[in-house]
Amino acid sequence: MNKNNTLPSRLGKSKRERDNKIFYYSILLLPILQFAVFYIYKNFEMIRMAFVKAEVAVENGIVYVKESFALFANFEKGIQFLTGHSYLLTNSLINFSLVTIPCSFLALIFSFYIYKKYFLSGAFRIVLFIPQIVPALIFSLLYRYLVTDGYIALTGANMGLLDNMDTIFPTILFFAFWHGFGLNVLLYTNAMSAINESIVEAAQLDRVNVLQEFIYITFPMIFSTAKSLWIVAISGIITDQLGIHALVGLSMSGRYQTLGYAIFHISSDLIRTPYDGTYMNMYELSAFGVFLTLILTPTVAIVKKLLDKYGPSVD
Amino acid sequence: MTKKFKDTSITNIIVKTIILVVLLLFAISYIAILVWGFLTTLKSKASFEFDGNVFGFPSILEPEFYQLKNYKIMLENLDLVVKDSFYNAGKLVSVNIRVPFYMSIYNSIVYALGTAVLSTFVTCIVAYVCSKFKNYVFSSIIYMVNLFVMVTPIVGSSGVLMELLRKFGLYDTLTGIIIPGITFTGMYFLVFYAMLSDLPNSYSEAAEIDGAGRLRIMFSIIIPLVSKTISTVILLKFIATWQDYNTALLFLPSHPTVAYVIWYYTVGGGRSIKPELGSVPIQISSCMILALPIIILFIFARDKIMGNVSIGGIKE
Repeated sequence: MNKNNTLPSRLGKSKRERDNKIFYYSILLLPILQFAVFYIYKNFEMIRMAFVKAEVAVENGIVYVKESFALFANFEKGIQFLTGHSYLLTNSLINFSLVTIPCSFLALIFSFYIYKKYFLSGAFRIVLFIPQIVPALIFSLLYRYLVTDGYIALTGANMGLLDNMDTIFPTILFFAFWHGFGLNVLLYTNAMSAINESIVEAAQLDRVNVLQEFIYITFPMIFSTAKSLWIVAISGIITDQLGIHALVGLSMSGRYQTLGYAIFHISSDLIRTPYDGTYMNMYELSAFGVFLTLILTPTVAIVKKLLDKYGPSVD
Repeated sequence: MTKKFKDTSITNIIVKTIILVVLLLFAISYIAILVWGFLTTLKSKASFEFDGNVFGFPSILEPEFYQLKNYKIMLENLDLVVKDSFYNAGKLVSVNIRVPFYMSIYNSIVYALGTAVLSTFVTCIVAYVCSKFKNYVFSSIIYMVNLFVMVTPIVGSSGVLMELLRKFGLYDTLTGIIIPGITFTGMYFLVFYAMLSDLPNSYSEAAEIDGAGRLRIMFSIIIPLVSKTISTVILLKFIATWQDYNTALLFLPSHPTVAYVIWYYTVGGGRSIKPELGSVPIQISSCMILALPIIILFIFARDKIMGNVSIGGIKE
């Protein structure tokens, strides 16, 4: 008879299995509860609110809210807002094309330089991480005074680059670009340092040059990391505030706002007046968020599929 | 031993030189702007704004230099008046409260440390049970949910979160700002999951034979094995939370954090309320104070921060 199949052994196994289950579910209980409330419930509530309107009455300082079904009225308001402020999407796409993509490309190149341990690579690794360590607010403020007071002192101009409507947007884009790739460099260099050295040595014996090594060995080997970062970066199209908030506060001219900045601005307006914001109330904001999510989620899925299909293979 | 091939081709030299020049430009600009900022904090308002000494060195004869006067003025004036509302005998009452700067420091420490430690711990233990008990149905669901959350951008939900926190009585409280952040989802779940999956089962099996329970195995064996990564993730999260003023602006209107106070007095409209904080050297001094704890952390934990995290797993 099989020793493992004896009754005590089976009883022992079932006790072990029961203990495992108790341990497993007791560890997961609170994190799943937190997730259920602050992700699932919150987002379902957001979807529900997208279809609801509210009538508000205040009696003796107490706010009474009566909700009723609004069908697509909130979505219409959100779409009207977007079409009436089409520059928000344009600015966000400009940011993505001129800042996010070039930053990602440069981060790869810089990481490769650091990974290859070329001249001063150790120092560059630390210095490029400075924008992640030093609070963005400091860099924003220093940059702000540099392109206003500093620029006026240097050129004798009447106003700084952030005060001039013709130069404000490029100046903000340049800041985002200049400040934008510290964490990516860290993640790429760590991924590159995990590449098996024997593969690189074999390629070097075949006399590949530095460009070939990057294109045919390094990039394919770290492609999964790059893919993850790119996919997250696409979400930035609607969330990226472009540092505007830290550079000019809440008074940025509408023409140069991004979607991310506008959404934050609308949200901050709802702190005191959730049912009657200047731009949208919280029901309309929910519908606007659902609408943007519905547009962006398939975009992310398509890009992921394309990257999976056409991205470089490790083989 | 294989002799390493050194590529001295023209392509190689040109490519390396171009990258080196660009890297130098970035590196020098980061350092130069910080040095310029620090030197500016040692200048007087008159020197910077009226005498046009924007790029020159500070005068050693001014108290801003030898007494660090700008920092003193800044520290004396960073208290903030906030509006708080509550119900008293069925009526909504609004009052102005003066929050001293040390309370903002306290709020920042609780928020940054609480969020960093608790969310890292939760992420680690969820990743542990999911990687250890892969055959349980929830493990694969949690893994897939995490991927879904990472690639599904949801915007505009802050209004809903405000309402939710109000319903729970958690809006405008430190607990209410920390709890939503204690989530296991995100990039660090993948980091812990990859690393814990690579750990051999022999460690926990040996402890189990010696009679250790599952909790004991987790706390006495598994967590110490990944403690370097845990501390790295805590540090990275602490840094991110310490400088976050957006969340405090939306969810902690009457409990300001250091980052929020400094944002408010520099770009958020507070300059007009306190003219004594309005000069450029004092504004920059106030920002420098925000960086101080992070720079200290970075000096002592640079290797931990820089070397332990990668998306595919952990380098130990």
